[in-house]
Amino acid sequence: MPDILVQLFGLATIASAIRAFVPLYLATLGGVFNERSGIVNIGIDGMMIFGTWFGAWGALQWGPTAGLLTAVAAGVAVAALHAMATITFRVDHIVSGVAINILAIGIPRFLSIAAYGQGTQSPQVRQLPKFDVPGLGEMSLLVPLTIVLGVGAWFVLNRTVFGLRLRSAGENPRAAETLGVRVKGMRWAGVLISGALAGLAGGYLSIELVGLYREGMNQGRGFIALAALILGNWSPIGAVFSCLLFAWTEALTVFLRVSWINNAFIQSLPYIVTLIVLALFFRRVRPPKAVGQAYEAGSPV
Amino acid sequence: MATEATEVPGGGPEEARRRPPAIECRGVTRRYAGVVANDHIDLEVAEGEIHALVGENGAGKSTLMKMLYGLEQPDEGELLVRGEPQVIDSPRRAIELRIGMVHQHFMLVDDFTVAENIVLGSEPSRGGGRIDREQAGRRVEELARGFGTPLDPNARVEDIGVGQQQRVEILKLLYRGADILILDEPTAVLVPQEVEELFAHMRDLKAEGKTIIFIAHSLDEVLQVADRITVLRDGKVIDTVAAADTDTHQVAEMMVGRPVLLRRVEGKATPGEPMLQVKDLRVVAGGKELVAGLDLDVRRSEIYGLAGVEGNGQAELVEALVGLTAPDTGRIYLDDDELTRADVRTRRQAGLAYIPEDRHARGMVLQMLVSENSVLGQQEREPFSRRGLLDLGAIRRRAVELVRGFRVKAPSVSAPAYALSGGNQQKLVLGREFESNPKLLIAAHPTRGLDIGATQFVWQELVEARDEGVAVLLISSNLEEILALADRVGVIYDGRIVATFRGSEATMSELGLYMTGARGEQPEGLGGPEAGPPNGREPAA
Amino acid sequence: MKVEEKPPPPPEPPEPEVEEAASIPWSQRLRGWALQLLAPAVSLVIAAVIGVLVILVVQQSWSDVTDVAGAMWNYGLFNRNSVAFILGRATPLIFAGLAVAIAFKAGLFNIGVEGQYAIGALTAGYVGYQLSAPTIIHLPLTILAGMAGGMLWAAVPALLKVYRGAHEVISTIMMNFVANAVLLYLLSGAMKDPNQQGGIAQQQTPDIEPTAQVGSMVPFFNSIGFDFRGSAPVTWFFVLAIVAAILYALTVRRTRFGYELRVLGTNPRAAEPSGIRSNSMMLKAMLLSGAIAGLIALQDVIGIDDRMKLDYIRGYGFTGIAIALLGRNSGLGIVAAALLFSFLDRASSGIGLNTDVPKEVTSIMQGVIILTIVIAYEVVRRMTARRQLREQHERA
Repeated sequence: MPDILVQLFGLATIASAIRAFVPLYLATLGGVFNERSGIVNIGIDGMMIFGTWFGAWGALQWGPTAGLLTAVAAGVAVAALHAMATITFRVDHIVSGVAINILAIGIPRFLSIAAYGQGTQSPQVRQLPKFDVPGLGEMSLLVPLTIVLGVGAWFVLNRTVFGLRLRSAGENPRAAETLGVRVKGMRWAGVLISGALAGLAGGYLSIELVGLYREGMNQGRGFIALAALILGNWSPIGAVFSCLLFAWTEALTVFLRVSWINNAFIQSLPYIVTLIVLALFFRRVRPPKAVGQAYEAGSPV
Repeated sequence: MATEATEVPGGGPEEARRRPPAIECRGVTRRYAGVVANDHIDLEVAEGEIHALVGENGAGKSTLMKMLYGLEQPDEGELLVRGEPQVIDSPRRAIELRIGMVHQHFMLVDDFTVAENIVLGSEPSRGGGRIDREQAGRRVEELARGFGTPLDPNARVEDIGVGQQQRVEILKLLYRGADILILDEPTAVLVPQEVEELFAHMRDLKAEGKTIIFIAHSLDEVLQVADRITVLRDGKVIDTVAAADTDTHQVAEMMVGRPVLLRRVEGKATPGEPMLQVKDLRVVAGGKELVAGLDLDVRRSEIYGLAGVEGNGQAELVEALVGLTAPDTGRIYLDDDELTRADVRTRRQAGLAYIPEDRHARGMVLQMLVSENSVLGQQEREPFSRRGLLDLGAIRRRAVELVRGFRVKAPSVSAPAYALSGGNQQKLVLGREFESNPKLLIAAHPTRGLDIGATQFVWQELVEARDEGVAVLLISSNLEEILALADRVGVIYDGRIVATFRGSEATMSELGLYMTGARGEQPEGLGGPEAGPPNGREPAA
Repeated sequence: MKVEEKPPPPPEPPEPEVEEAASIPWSQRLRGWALQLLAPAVSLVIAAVIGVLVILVVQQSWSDVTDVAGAMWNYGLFNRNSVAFILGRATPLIFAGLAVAIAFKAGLFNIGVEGQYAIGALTAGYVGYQLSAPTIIHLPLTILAGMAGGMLWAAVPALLKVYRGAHEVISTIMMNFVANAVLLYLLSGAMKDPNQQGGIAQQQTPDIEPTAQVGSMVPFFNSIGFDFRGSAPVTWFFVLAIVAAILYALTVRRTRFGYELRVLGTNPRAAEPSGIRSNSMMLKAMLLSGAIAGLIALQDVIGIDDRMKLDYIRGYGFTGIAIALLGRNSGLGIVAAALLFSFLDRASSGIGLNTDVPKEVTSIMQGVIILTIVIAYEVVRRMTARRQLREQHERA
């Protein structure tokens, strides 16, 4: 087989893509929940970063499972800040998200120095036992878990009472309120779920994929997840395809080595592909109708 | 005219009057931000009656109804439901009390199906929080059939028509077993024929023993269907009368507090040469022809009233005229200029002024100052700016002129625009466009949201502008307004002008027939020799 | 309501009172300003409290808290070079804040300042070391090259937004990552200093001509009595930053461009019907933002040092967002916020030198300030609006 095809579609690439799919899809799934409830969460990247830090730290203290749980808890805690700012105080969603991302730049470094004596890296952590897939190598247990979560998310959103009400909060919160749906509560739920999933994504990154925490390791995946969210049309199913695309480009940064394409360009591949996706698809898709709008229950207007 | 008494479950009106009233308000008061919206309201709605609540904008009708539905809470006073005092602190509580409300602006989730909209918040469920979709569908079909209107539970709400959407709203109430129904301005979005259907439904519901409270503006309609009428003014109850014992004059007098109604304003000037000429305009969107080969002329010193049910292309026509969307084919001329593809600024500079339908959203910036808002749309003209720099003094002076001339109540022209009341904000926008020295003024629903005094004032201004030579294109869903002001009336239906009349010869019923498409297109020659496209000069090509 | 011919016309409502010019009473104005300052004040207090808590939790000693406070005060303000340092470090922050603010006025979130200033530094550096020309040409050209680089980098997300509706938050962040790659690529290749020792971390360009450099402001300060050390990092770029802030304020308040920008940013739906060309305004705002961003690193590249280094891209883009938020997108506010953050930076060195507490504690304080300030501004805004409504109804 010609070398380029192996690099593009070979088993090693596919395996790498699957591993990269997990954090991306989890983060995107989180985005689905908060956006469909009506809240924009630009801070998913920041929540993932906190997930990476607290995941590694938790794993060092108590082992990989506890580490993942700590990562989830960290994500939820940060999400609670965002929820409080946007839902309780009605701060602009994007401003609050940006604030969270700024926090995620400064705070982990401080915590690292306090915990490990230096700012950029943690010691190595133990990982969860892996299972072997013939041809693809070792896979984390989180891979099947992610698929289960994806299916679960679809089911919850489209087949349950909670899902219907959550979606109504993002489509027409006024209408929902007149029928007794607690819009604020639904939105809190959406944001906290997104925090949990983002935290889990981060925890996977530091514990399962890399094996330690390193400053900057998230490399903007949270923002790529936002693009995947849009491309996937705000649906858990659509997100599978969009995330596979982005995960594949990530795998290519490792495996694609063509002499006439400069390495810097290859490293930028996921970001360039995101830009192209935005350029082509943004206008054709349909976001939840009331996303991004502040809402005041029972307001006279 | 009151409705006839018929066999009613639980006995007729006599028996009903002996039972406690369905709804009673005692001394209900609601204040916010310094204004008293409801001032010690005492009100009784008997079981099984259709009770109308009328009053001007800001009289407090909606606020009172919202309190009955739990969207707001009274500061003082008591609410009694079926004789028992109740605290209605949320819509959920109102629903438990079997009270339901259909809001003026529909509360429907466009993306959801009919069934999902109806069951939201009270979903039938199976184990584990799952929704029982079969049961939901069945219940909805049952209810719809019982109500006399078949509906597809799986249709998406955004795909069905306005009349059907209103029925979905009513079904929402019936699904929850409501027997006290509150309807807020239900006829505002309906065409005369649909209003008749609604009233028939209301009488059916009354025959089933339900109580209906509805808010309305149109006194004719109110007298047709209501048993009793309560008039609110400035937050207080003026009186409650039986519909059989009163007429529109009396009720209007109670609403306004003085014995006067709006009157047709006669102007002095006669229409001249065509100012606006629209030829074969076509606007296509989403595969549909929203404006389908439309011809229109508005002359100097003329008010042309465009009548039509919302959704027949008026909005798209206006957008094409103002320059917000580009038409697919056709031509637009203003005086000697062809403006078909010109941008908004060019059109304004050529003499176009525009009062948007939604003044607050599209006509002003609430967070900016009154003075800044008073030159919006003209900011590049002298004296407001010169060589890119703003002349703040000149802007302030203009603001003061507008505030005085249009009786806008403002603390200062340097106050932010949100400090003005809604009506005053509107007056500012209206004034600004009137005073921009236009050749053509496009006024979309200019008196929506204004009280009687302000409405009469705006009518005056429109006629004055007409007398000064302005060509006025008046788009309004208020047929009374059109008949009061227009020199010529055109009916738009399905994206075309299907009929034109001389203003003095048009009647509401004929307009209504053309508006619903019942009459098809007007044959040539109807409406008088001056109706129809004038033999205008051809614009310079 | 029926329309008919009936005699008596409605009685005229009384003429409303309107004051002539912009005469809001001074007492009300003062109260307004006090409220505005309340938000940042509250947020500073909260940040200080949380800082104290963090130190207590991590170091478990009260004496560390007082040490930190002392270091911040003494070293932060009264060390020999502190004022110079604060002014100098505020310079890039001012540019960063202005860049973010001008886009924000149009309703756009330019998160790509980080990438734009990297590219601007590259283009300026290139013109700086490649060309030879007299100062009067070389220096302005270099500065313009920096602005052009930033503008170029902002053009891509700007065009994507205007012609494809792509949300600028995502596209600008993507451009940041691409800029990173471009930076590495050029600094280790075409723009590499042939005489450079050291590995990747020390990538830098060749020396920049003296004709393209901006001098230090230390001699000036010395002459007016400040005893700064010669190497203190404050240059005439500081003056340029202040001038930029003034120009920004004037543009926003007093020009037609600023007016239209504000309409677009506050209520985009009202912009088109009033003749404002939204697309062209958005483009101009983004390009202007990128141009200002291009100036951020220049103090390092052609002021303090005489080369472009990888090191010089150090996150000012994101801090700039914080500065703009804190300064509420006003010229004065941005300068004040920049000075505050610059002070915190200086103070953090003091903490690192003189206490046992990690100096990054100030970054926690900065983070807390950001989060609390956005909430505080929102609360104050709502309080003022409610007060206005109340006063309006009392008047009615």
